[in-house]
Amino acid sequence: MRKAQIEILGLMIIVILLIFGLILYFKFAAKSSSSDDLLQTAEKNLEVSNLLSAVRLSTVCDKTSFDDVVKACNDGTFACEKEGCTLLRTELSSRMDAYGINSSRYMFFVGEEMFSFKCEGEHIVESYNMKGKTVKLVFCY
Amino acid sequence: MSVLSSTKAQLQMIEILMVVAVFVVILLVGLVFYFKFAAQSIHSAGENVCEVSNTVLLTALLSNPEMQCSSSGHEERCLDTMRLLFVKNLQTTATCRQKVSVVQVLPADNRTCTTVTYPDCGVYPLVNANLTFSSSYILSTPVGLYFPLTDTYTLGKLVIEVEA
Repeated sequence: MRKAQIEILGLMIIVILLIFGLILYFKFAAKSSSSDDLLQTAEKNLEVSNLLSAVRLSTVCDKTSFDDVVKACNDGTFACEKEGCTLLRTELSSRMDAYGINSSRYMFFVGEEMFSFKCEGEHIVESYNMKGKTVKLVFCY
Repeated sequence: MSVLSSTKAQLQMIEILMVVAVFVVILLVGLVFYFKFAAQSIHSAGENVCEVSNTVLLTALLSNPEMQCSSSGHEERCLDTMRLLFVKNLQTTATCRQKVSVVQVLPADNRTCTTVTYPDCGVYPLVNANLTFSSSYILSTPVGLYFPLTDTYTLGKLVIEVEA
């Protein structure tokens, strides 16, 4: 082999090593980020699902639960001696505040009517049906 | 002529040795990086396993019959605060060390719950309450808390503090 040929061979080995290194780097980087995303999404889904269940059960006054207040609002009646929808707004806000969730991170719907501010970003939705209407908690992150 | 040829051969030998040395250095640097990434990947996989197992634990604890509230045999998605006082030998994950507790958030109360302080308290320690970690992260999920004495429900959080 001529000297020039040997030098080209050496250069090729270095280039192959560099490509091999880059492949390994991207392999490790891509693997860790995709599994983290999946886990975070699962955790957020669990949080929103449990949040709606906990809020629905919570007692507002005497034997009246938050769910009863939503029903009163839907029927246009009173709960805890207050107008249903007005009470729903204040009680929802106090419950979300207790979890440190500010008003820009969630939306609460009874049917088409929204009982919170509008939030933007990616959404996780948890809902249930009540007398033909969908009660929906939308969590933005 | 033979002296000249000997010097040229020596130069070629030195050149080959230098190329081999550079190749070995590049190979070593490559190996160091490879093992560094491999070690990082194993460490992160370990943390991931720990986080996944604790997320599963969060869900499992919510449906643990030792703590879950029930009405007329029908199980509800909440924890009975009175049962929380008497929880013993709760099964946790063996992959990492963790502290488990239930914290009342509405109204918030920092007092630890015992049979003496209940119900005027807000923190129910369940597992390894006395452990302290130099570095840790917290996994939590909202949960309804049931008070059988008053038949009322309030809001709480199931909290798992995991050693990092």
